[in-house]
Amino acid sequence: MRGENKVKNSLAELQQIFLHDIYHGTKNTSSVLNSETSKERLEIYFNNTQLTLIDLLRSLYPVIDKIVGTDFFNTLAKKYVQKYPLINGNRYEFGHQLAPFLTNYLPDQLPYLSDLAQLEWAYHCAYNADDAHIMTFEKLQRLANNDNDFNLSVHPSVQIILVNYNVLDIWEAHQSNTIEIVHLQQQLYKILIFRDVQNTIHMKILSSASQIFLATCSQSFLTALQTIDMENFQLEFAEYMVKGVFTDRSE
Amino acid sequence: MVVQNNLCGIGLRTPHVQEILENKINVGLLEVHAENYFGGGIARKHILQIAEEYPLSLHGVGLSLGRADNLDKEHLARFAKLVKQTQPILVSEHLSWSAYQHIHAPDLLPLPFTNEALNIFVSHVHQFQEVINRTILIENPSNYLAFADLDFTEPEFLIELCRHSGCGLLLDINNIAVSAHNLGYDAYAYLDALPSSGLVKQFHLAGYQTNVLKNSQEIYIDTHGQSIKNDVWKLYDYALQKFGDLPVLVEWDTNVPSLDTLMVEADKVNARRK
Repeated sequence: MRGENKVKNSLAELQQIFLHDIYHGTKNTSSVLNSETSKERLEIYFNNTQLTLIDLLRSLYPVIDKIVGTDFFNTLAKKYVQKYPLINGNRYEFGHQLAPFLTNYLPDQLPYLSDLAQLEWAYHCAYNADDAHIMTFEKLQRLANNDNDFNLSVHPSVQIILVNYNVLDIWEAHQSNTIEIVHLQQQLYKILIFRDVQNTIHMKILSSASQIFLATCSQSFLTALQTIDMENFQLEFAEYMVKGVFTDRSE
Repeated sequence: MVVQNNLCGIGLRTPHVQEILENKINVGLLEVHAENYFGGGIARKHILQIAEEYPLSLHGVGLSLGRADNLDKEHLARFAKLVKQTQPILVSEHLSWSAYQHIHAPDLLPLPFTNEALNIFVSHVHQFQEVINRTILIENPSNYLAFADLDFTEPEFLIELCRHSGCGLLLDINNIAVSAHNLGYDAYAYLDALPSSGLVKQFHLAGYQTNVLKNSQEIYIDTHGQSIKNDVWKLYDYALQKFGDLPVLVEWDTNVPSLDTLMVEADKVNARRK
């Protein structure tokens, strides 16, 4: 296990060089390797890094993978991995910049793809978000009786995204093996994504009023109520309560 | 926490989680990759249920104890929370590194066995053990390359690490066979270099695959994707004789087979221990 060329670099320098090698395919670490090992061995680590992260990205964006096909996805994923490497040991956080990356990568083709990436990332975040105590109707009633005003926080899984294309239709059309034809529509959509108490992910188009209510209620429930026609919103609000969109921070 | 030595378990991977929760299986130990349960939702619900019904081992793959800079405090905190919630009987990590500053590799990268690396690794193991309030086990990795002119061999490094940090060893027998073949040393001499009692607390067994590089060199790749090879079984028999009967874990991470196939591998371990 011992050779001729001493590891002259400090551990920090060595790790910087090694990481560059396995993300960019360079072989600078080879100067401090045992003479019996070859530069080709570095490729094992390079290939493993590339394949693991490309597969991880594919698992996060299955609809985009279906739309562009495996070869094209591999090509764009390779470029993505070089630009946005894994930044920590929590792999849940890898891949979050695919939407802005696609805006630059595909400026003229498939204009909705970046929006679709936003939707798929929001699904991933909702699926893996931390758990929280759910606000019950009884507790909400007590808060309303006891306090002039209070904050009604949304569950950590709640995501609201703004997109310019009907990507929710496109996403739904790709959930089965028989792909339906979707007519692309360009307009502003607000989409709510959240995980319910049964751990099922819901995605739905939000009205502007509902979006403002959800954004405001975590600061002031009374102010949020003033932003909305409660008569029309009460069924929707009840659905959110039942499905666990709001949390009880006092628990 | 006292751990029974005759435990034999399997690495629990996602495809089998639902199955083992619906139909309780007769297994001594289930080991999961801790990082797969850092989030909430279904995965968290499952791990809490598993921890109630089975002896659990938390195996870290992303803490990067060998990194030259500081450990990721958020990662440590999430790991500690999982330990607190699941109360595993064993906690382990790897003799490797995977991150420096803000770049992380999805792999267990080789550590140069120098005095500097030893001091850093000991300090990080201390920190990890303090945060989770447990003694951990460190697993020998599979290596495809080695650095030149080092201060220690791998067994020497592991012995010093245990001496200075108080951690124990998780000997991955497959990894010893893989590294010994790839780096040209004797796997049995590796085991001989370790003390027969006191340090080694657990074994891992798994399968490797053989690849041929462009320069015609034959190399073993630690895929954990097939059944355990004969040379690994023989090395395990030798380890069993030297270190005694310790908890064993059968790992199968890629091309994950049916649960029945995994249990057959675990049964083979038990047959060799009799």
